[in-house]
Amino acid sequence: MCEEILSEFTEELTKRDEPVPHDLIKKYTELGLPESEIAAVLLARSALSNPKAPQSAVENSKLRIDELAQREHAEQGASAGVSLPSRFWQAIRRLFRTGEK
Amino acid sequence: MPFEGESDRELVARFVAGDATAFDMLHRRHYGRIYRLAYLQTNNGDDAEDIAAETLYRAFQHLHRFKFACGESIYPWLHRIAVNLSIDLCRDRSSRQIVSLDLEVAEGIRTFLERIKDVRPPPEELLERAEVQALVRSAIAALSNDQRDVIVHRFLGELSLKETAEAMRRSEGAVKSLLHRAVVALRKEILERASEAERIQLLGRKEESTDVRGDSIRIHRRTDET
Repeated sequence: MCEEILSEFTEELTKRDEPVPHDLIKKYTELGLPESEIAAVLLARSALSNPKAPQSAVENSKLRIDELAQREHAEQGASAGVSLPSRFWQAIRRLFRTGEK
Repeated sequence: MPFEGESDRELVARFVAGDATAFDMLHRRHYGRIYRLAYLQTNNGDDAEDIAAETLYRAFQHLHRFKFACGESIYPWLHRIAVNLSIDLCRDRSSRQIVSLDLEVAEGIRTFLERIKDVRPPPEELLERAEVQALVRSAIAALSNDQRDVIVHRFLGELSLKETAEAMRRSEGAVKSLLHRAVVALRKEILERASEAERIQLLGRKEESTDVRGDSIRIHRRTDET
């Protein structure tokens, strides 16, 4: 019983922005959900929405991925620029090199 | 921001079709969550930054092969990558974190966990305090893996019950039951930490009082030991 009500409460809570939605608390305490459980959920939600990542960290991460994307794009362009017979012979040579090991 | 209203599934489809800019939206949507998850695991901003960056980097490299096993979110996949990276990083570290609280705040937490309305400071203010959030994070980190995961999926990953169940490979009923146990266990952990913080503060005050009356601190200490 309590499990069902708690789950419903968390479902409704995820749709709300305010840290302490008093109307929801009133509704669910009337439905029999203990205040202690509501409080623990509110504390968990608040703690897990922090700390905010520094903007520099977000930008550094993005930059690293952009560099990877550019590198992959350049590699694709380079391999596309090589003719088909040439790529075929490159693949054959690679195959023999692997076989020698 | 382009693609703002699109689901992760739609963004991944765009990315696989060759539109690398679709990843910008996925990065924007999930970086903060993964950073907070890594912070929860490591309790260190620099480590959280490294883990979040590496997680998103690996996601970019392997997104072409990603298959949606559940729901519309790539969060469960990112969660797994980040947790594995955190485990590798924190293998040799102690996870127990000591959080220092004012007496008033520690008492506020205990009251809040019993009667939400009568709290001083008011609940909104209490929940916003960095030291309260740090204490709650340390309590979440101390839960069993399953209990921690269900709370993180629900409140950090913002997954629905159905998505949480799919991510944890359990039935919805089992997840509801696990969530309930996790919340009860979390309350207990928070209370223990708040009481411990109160005790440390009280002992600190008694230590201070030794300068004035040396006799009284001995009596207090003997009382604490019994």
